[in-house]
Amino acid sequence: MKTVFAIAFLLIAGGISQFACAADWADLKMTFVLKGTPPKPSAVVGKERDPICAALPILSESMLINAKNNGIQNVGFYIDTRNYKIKEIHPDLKAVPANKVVLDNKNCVFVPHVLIVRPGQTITAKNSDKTGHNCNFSGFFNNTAENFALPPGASRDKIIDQPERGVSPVDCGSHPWMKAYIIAQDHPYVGLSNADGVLSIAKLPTGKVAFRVWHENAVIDEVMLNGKKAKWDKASLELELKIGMNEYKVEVDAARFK
Amino acid sequence: MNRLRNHSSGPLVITTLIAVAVSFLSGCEVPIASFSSNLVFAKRLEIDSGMKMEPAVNETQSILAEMFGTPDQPTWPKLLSEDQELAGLVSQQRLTRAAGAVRSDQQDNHFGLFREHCVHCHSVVGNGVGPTSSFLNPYPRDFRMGIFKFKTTPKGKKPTREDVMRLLTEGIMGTSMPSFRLLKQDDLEALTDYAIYLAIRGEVERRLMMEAASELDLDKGERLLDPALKESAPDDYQDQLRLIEETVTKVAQSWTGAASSVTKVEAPPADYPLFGRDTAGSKEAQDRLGASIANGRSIFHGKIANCASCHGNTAMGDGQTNDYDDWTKDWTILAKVDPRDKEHIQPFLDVGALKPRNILPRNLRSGIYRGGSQPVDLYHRIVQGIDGTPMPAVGLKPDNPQGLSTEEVWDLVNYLLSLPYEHITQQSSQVPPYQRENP
Ligand code: HEC
Repeated sequence: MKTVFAIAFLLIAGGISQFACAADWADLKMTFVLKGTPPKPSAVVGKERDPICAALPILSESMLINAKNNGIQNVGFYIDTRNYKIKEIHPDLKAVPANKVVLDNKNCVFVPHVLIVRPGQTITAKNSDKTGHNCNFSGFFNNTAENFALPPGASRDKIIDQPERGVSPVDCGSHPWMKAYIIAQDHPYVGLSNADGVLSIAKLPTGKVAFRVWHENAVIDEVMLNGKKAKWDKASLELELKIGMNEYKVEVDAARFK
Repeated sequence: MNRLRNHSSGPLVITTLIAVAVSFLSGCEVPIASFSSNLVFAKRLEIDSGMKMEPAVNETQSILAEMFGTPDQPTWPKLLSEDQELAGLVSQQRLTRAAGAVRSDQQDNHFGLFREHCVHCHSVVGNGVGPTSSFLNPYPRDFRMGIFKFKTTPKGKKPTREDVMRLLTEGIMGTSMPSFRLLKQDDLEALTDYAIYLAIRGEVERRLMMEAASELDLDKGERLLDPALKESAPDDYQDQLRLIEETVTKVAQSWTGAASSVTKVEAPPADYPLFGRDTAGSKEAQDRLGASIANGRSIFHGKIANCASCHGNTAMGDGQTNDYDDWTKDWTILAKVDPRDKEHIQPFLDVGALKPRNILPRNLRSGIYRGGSQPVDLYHRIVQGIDGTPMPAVGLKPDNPQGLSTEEVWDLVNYLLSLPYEHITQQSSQVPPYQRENP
């Protein structure tokens, strides 16, 4: 009889802890702001060779700072698997999304500038311009290289079947200012800051989690994190994530940018 | 006649002197105990990971020595020679023949072929930084990224064995890479094996270093293959070992897979006019050839193929000239360093990188093609693009509805072949290429 009780107790306790476990997830919101004077976006060089692009006001996207709140756009932020081994992914996020990720060539720039994909997803490179572009995926380490010629109206698919360690640039050989970047991590915990410098990553594991940060134009290794100095030690920053919402304001000195 | 002879002996003497000096520099006769490490790539990883890469460089070096041997005694890794599918990729016998100090026997069989013919440009480890490299343009190839330009397989795929062999036999026109046609067939086979061996070794090296930089805390003493684990945690040790072996196998498989990925060439109809063959044919053939060339010309300048955007309206290679090849991007753009930024490229030059140069679209009026001047060679270049360079692959119909038909590709080939004979002022029209309607 005693054993039956004990088993029943264990089962219930197990059920409860499992239930508790399912709710033990953290959400992360980070706001990246520039400390100092934002640089004026410069015009790109070399567009005069193509009359269609030359007619457009194309500014360099290598550093997009919001004039209103100094928010830094296109900061990538993702779990650093060197210093944090992901034991479990939230059930909602386990499946690789089935949708294709579009990389448009529009008004002689790549849209979006930074893409987040999961291995298994497909990137559809398309050309909405009236001029010819090409999509040179030259920066992969694990995925095979590809360089599509893209006439006006064309689209071609590139399957991303491997995760990448770093961030992989894409360029267009006909228009050298055109640059896009692909973040292809083997997990869903990747964020990218929007025009206000805000990024969010949902349903993260709790506790100490290590992150990497990326910006195309800066080596971000020292910041003010919620008002206190914080360092990316060996390119890794550890955050203590609690259940529910975790908010951070990250101030990056203008001197970190090129 | 005599004057001509006297003249030609001048350069010959100089060439011989250079050859002697080079063989001296490259130390053909001294034993070479080990391959040099890829310190340029290590530098990139160091910047990216914020860690000192030295432990990983040293460890990778000893793992590779264990599997691939040394320049004097190269070995084809046991795990590959025991794998049915991979065993035949490279033969140990040929490796041995190509490696080591230059020597020959009484039957004039040569050994140490790689050091005899290749090291002064490609160096002992195949990184393309030999004693003469900085004087050459283009620079000799670094095999270690596993990227090859002139081949019959699609972008991103390895060349076939025949592709590599052909480069050795024919050389690469317009570059310093000579033809080795005069070598015996055996020697060429041995050198082909050796080049593939170096490429595989070099790619494995990059992959192991990347693994260390992204998954290990080297400062804490973590290692790719930790001998201490052998006793304390044999399962972990086995996992580590498996990862290394998988890396080697995967790289080797990418080479054996090449043969089945060769681009299918859709031959033109039998009566299709081809430049060269039909240039002096019947009036009808000449008319048809003329029409094909004219169509090729408008495709060249049109938006679908977009060739003129890089090769220029004159086709002299004066379109976009600011880009870099993948070998350069690998340690500049990917390390967030502008190739023009003298200060930040210096640490890379200090560990052996060659000064970055722009990759230039070819002057298509010279009639010199690196990858071969047969119509079918140009077909491969157009539908595959050129690996490691900005030259893209055009899409083919019907898979790519906005692409070219194979017949249009052959028209383009005819135009390319006729370009060296076209008068420079004879361009398709006065309208700039981007404003023209699709052909
Ligand atoms: C984005 C720029 C770009 C575009 C677009 C481009 N090319 Fe090229 N092309 C290059 C570069 C760069 C090279 C030199 C590659 C090398 O280093 O050998 C090249 C080389 C070549 C070669 C020389 C091959 C050899 O064996 O030497 C041919 C032929 C050629 N291109 C034809 C074309 C044609 C035809 C088109 C249009 C269908 C085209 N290219 C479009 C950049 C381009």
